[in-house]
Amino acid sequence: MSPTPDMTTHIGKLVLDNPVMVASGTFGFGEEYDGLMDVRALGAIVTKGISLEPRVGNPAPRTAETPCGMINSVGLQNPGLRGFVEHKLPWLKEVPCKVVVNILGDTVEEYATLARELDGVPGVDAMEVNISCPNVEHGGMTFGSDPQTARRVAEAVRAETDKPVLVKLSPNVTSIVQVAEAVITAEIDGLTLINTISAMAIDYATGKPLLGAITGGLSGPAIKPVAVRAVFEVARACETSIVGCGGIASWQDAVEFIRAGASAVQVGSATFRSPSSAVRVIDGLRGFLSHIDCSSCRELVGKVNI
Amino acid sequence: MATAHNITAELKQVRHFGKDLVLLRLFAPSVALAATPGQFVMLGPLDPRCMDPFLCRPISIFGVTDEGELDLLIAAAGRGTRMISAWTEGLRVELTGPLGHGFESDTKNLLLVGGGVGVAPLVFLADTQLAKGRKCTLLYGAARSEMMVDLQKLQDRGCLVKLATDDGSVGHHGLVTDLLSKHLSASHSHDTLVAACGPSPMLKEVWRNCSEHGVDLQVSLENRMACGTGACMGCSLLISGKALRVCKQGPVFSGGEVFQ
Ligand SMILES: Cc1cc2nc3c(=O)[nH]c(=O)nc-3n(C[C@H](O)[C@H](O)[C@H](O)COP(=O)(O)O)c2cc1C
Ligand code: FES
Repeated sequence: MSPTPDMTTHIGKLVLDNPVMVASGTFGFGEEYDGLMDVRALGAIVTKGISLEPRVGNPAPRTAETPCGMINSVGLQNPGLRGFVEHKLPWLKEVPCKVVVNILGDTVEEYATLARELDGVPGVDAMEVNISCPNVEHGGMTFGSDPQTARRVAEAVRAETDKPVLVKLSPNVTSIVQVAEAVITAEIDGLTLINTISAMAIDYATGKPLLGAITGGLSGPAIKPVAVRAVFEVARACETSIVGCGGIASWQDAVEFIRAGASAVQVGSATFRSPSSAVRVIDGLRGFLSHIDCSSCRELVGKVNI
Repeated sequence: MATAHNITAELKQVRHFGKDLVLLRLFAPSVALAATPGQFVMLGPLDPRCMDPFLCRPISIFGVTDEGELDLLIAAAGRGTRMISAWTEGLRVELTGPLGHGFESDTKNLLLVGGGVGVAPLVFLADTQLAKGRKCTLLYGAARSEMMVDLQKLQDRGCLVKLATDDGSVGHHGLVTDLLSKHLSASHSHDTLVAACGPSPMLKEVWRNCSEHGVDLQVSLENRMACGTGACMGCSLLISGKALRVCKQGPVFSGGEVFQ
């Protein structure tokens, strides 16, 4: 038994006390969970996605439970950049863990503007670029579905900020490795894999879709094997840090992602099920590393026995 | 904001009413002490060893006791609530609460309109208002008498309870809103607040009656919830042109806000 394993995690320039974050859109702006779990123990909080202007999001209903998971069509309701900086960031600045701001746009220019505006804002430790949004200038196909469009977004953000930049990839593509390879040429700090999987559910009796927006994104344990495969494939093909996300609900899940090649992980929908999920992942991971005599979390990254 | 807690609580008592209605009593002092009428809890995971069902269930607070117990009324409607209704005494369950924004009442007279399991937060409201010496009338409607919870205790404390059922098995044969319209036409003081919770067609009809008679209305809304804490934006409804989270800015809203 090694006494206390080193949990310090590097994702490019971003340094975390431990490798466990909470995923964008599942933790609001942090204060919603204050008092319900130990927010301060987290490696980082990733905020709900922020656009330049406030958005109201999609029609109700916006969530539907599915076997071992859920589908959401929240549609990126958020207070906009100014609303975020004025009303949400002050609370986040006071917590000791790192703050990663998730950003989204309708155009490459909107991503660039967000990066430029956030670059000078104290309390923002890094940005995570959500490219699973429709590209309004080009027929509404998502930025993340084409490697070259995805790369252009990454380059535009990189050009505007020296802060660490993560790009979060969508699994709704033919080859996530091709998108990853294109995106990392922009010299970003790391990749987050994966966002939700495009999905739909219908009430068999009434014939009505369960979501107001008809389709949405699947999350939760149901998508974990897809996410592990994505991390594994990208880790083998690319020289970059990977943040694994998708269905993580226990420390065993986190270890699985780390072995597949992730340097850090994000806990998403599992927080809805039990607010302390991410904290239990941190404690369990530390315990496991110590149990297997591993002196630092880094040593376990990519340790899959094939 | 009142502080919410995430705790594990022991199930002290399970009482069944008919085959589809169950009243749970949990020992949850931190939650019970902080709770106000109209607030709710997120109950779950329903089975900690299994990821299916995945999400917790939002459940209105039916009442609290001086001993730190929390009462929750649950109608077995879907798979999750059916699982809950099979729970037995002694089980330890996780819950988060109290959550949301409840009723605000400082009027002398309270007229409560509950449909089905929507009666739950109104019973808690009546309880606290009676304790302050205020007058309460509860109009309670359901499909059939065996889908109704026993409200004898509330009646003993001086609350006037009138029932309506769709099949006429008890009380008025018809809708609870028929009772409301009769009540408002007969008499109501200017110092009356109507508080309502139930299916949305019922709430609309309550609103129509209240605006006709110029009476203030507060309604408790329901929506599917993933987090219950305001984090996921999954429960937002467009209310007066704004996307408001039912779990955070609600579940209780003024009738005017919702229906005007
Ligand atoms: C309600 C909800 C809202 C989300 N909002 C965002 C968002 O704004 N930006 C983003 O990049 N990902 C968003 N996601 C995706 C999550 O961050 C995460 O990638 C996904 O849920 C998979 O992880 P999980 O299975 O642990 O939940 C959202 C997910 C959910 C469930
Ligand atoms: S249920 Fe998540 S914001 Fe209301």
